[in-house]
Amino acid sequence: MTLLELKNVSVHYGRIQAINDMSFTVEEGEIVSLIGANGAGKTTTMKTISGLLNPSAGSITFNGVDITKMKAHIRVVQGISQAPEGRGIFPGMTVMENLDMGAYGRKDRSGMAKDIERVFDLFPRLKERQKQYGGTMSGGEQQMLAIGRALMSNPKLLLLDEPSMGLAPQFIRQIFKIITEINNQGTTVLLVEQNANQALARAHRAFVLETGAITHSGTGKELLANPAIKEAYLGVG
Amino acid sequence: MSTTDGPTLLPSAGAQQDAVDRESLGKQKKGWFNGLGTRWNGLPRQKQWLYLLVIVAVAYLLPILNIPGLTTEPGNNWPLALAQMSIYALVAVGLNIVVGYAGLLDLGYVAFFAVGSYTASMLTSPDSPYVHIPYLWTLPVAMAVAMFFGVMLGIPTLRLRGDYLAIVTLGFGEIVRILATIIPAMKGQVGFQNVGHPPGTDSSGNAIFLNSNGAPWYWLTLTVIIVVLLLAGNLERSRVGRAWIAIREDEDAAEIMGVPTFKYKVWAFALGASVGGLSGALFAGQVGFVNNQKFDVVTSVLFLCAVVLGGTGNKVGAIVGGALVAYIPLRFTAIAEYKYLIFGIALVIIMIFRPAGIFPARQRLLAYGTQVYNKFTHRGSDTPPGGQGEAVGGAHVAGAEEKGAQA
Amino acid sequence: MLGGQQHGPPSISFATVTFTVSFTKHQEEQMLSAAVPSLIHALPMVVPMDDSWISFDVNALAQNFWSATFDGLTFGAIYALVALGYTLVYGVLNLINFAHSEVFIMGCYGVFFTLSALNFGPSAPHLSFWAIVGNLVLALVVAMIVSALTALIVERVAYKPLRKRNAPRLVFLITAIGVSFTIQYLLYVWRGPSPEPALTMFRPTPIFEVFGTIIDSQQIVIVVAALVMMVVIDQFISRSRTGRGIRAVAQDPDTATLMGVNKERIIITTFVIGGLLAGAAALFYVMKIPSGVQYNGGFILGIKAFAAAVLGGIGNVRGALLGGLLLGLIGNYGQVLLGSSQWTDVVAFVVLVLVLVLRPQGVLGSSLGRSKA
Repeated sequence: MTLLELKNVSVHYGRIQAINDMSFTVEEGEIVSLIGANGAGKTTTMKTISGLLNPSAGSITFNGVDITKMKAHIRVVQGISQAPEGRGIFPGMTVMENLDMGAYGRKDRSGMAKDIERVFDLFPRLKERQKQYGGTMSGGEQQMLAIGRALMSNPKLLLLDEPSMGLAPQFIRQIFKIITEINNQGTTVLLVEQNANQALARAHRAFVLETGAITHSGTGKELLANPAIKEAYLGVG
Repeated sequence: MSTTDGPTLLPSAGAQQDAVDRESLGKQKKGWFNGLGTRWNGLPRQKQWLYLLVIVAVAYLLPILNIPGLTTEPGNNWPLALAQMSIYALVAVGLNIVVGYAGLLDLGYVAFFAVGSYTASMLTSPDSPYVHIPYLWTLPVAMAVAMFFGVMLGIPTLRLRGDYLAIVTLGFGEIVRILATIIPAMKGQVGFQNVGHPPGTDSSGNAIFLNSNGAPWYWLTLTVIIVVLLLAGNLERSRVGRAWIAIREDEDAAEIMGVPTFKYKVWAFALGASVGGLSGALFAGQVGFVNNQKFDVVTSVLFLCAVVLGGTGNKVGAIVGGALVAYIPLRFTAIAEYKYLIFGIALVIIMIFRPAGIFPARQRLLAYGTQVYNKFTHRGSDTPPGGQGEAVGGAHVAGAEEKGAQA
Repeated sequence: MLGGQQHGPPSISFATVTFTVSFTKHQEEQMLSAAVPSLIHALPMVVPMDDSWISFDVNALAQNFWSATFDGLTFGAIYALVALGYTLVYGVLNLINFAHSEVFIMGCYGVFFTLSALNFGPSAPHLSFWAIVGNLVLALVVAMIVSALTALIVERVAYKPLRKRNAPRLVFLITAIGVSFTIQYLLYVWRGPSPEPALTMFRPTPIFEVFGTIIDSQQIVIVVAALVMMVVIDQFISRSRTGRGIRAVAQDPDTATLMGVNKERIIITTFVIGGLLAGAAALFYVMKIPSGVQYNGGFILGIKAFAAAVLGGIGNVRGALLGGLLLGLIGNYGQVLLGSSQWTDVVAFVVLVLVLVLRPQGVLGSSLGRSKA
């Protein structure tokens, strides 16, 4: 079943067009990767899906509901959760408070308790650091916290904006392993990455974004094998 | 976020988007007087000078041309009203340097005005026991003293973000009034009588600059305004002016580009203060009496309203705004009682609906951008001049050059 | 600020100006040494009383030290309640809400009209203890509602349209001062220039004595009630869900939205909380200064409260309390030391400037979550 559908979406910053007539779908249970260079419109796409930006044309459907005009904070309750670019940890809150923020829109205490267990299972480090302030943690720990926090709303669709940014290589592999695990637990993942290698290897399907439009699409393996993409994004060829 | 951060207000993803929206919007509906400004810039330089001469001549003739409908009589003496308007206009020009050019909110401008007034009166009034000097010499002294206070106030606050300056100046405005009350030498409510005036007598031996005779004071202030305008205009086009605009538009970016923002902010603040002191000295001379009742903070807000009304950053707008703020209560005496309320509401409404004021400032980052643009457009096809030429900086000039190349 | 007697040594000598500067520099040290009155007796008289426009009556301070302290704490508690409004709005919106002083003064009018309607007058009422308590609680509720409503209207009418189009910061500040001005002169047009007639809520009765100084019921009521409110607010901000939302918006508005926080609702809540506290401050203010209800009565108090917020660390809830109490003390000591109540305002202002120079982040730092990593 199609979970998310973007239809002919365009986004403008003033007169500058950041996304041009973009359409794609995310099916339930998938990991979908969007890869592209700086300024290709990856983060803009993410912000448009999560509602921080409004499209100037086109429509977005989520779980069968048109959410084009829906406010960002309501989309969270509907089941879209984002770990933003740069992680967006609240520096003056403890790890536990940050996780609580992830469940801000929720009322079911038992479900929340279950999700906190799930997050601590995925990221045992966070459990150790419950009382530590977010601002005092390392980049990798912050990324774990950002993903864990996004899971706290028990989303149907998890948006990850460059989870590998600024992390050490062994940490990147670990994060991607966890992303696959989250997906195996039943959460659909839409991933934006510059690290095309990992992103394509882990994805069921992937799209290549160039200057605001999709130029290639296919399964992760297909794109990994595509010579043009190899040259442009994988540093080989 | 630390307290020294730049001017970000709720930094949100939409901010950029809206900022650009705003810019493009601003271009479509620039102002009620948009056409005027555009046409003005399209005129050749000689014609501009000619028109300017006519305008200045009319301005000088105003006290004699007691135009019905425009005049404030019978309620208020017209030349005296003009004198007051011109002083307000000068104040607005000075405050515009601070608020308009450099984007610093000074809510205690009346304090510098007061400093200037007290300087003039304490150096000329027979009520004062100190050294006495000729009145005209008090003008530069008042400027210097006000500037000194400006620097003293600016140095601690201008390193911090703009809000602190606003509240500190607001406090300072009130403090000067309180000090005038509690420091015995400043004579509180008793004040200083018979403040000095410039020399000169008419044919019958009476002094020309009488408190009751507005016209000479008006002419004097008008002349001062013209001089200040010429200087301010030069500053605006200079390196300093560009630095101010850069600071106003994006202080962080300016700092990164190597603009010593703090230095230029102190400069703007001190220069603004000195013009405030100058107008205060003129005011003291014209009214002839200074006490602690004349300088309340509400006057500061009136001054701010004058600048905002005219369009922050536009010196012509500031003059008109200043004159209007003084003129409206004198002309329409029925509403004079409500002037503070009216100007307070005006301030909010302008900010919400028309933040650029009546005469929006043109933000020319490149001093000769307009000329270059006009040159090319005149040579090229009949592209209507204006609009883009006055836009924000380099990109448009580059565009103009492209057009020129095609032509 | 509170009327009071004029104190004026005869003439000026500019030589003392330099002294003033050095005084302000060492003010805090002086305050510290003032904490031990016996030390002060040992100090020589600092300045000759003649031919100076400013004089330091150290003996007066030594004699009145404890009464100045308790009175200062009372004022400080009031400042602190108002300062919270500035701090909360600043934390969430990054904006000095100049209109907050008018939010406060509207509360004072609320108190005045409620108590007038209940037949309170210039002399203390002849009512039973519980009747007075009931009436005051009613006035408190009215004031809180009036102030909160004012804050809400200001937010909706003035700030929201600006936020919607992402206006530059200067526009926000000018609007804020414009709103403040407008409300002041609406009150002026409605009630005229003079203060409302004084209202006495109850006659302060001595409760106990500390260091030879009587502490009266009024001081106790104000300080205790203000402290209770501050603790409640502090706990609300740090523990409740809405409080967490406020902190989240203060730290990172975009991410807060991604967590499902309704930013607009948080902003409204913040203004309303600030208004409620200003309303409470209004009751205590009128209690302390019965004739203080005047169209521009909020202005100076607003600046002092803001100074208190900065002193404690703007954006920091506990900082507002600490800053308020400190400013109350410093202002009162300054007033006794300098001999005229008008000096309170000057001293508060000097403190504000000094804090901005020496420690702009305030005593406790600005941490409504904005603490640096």
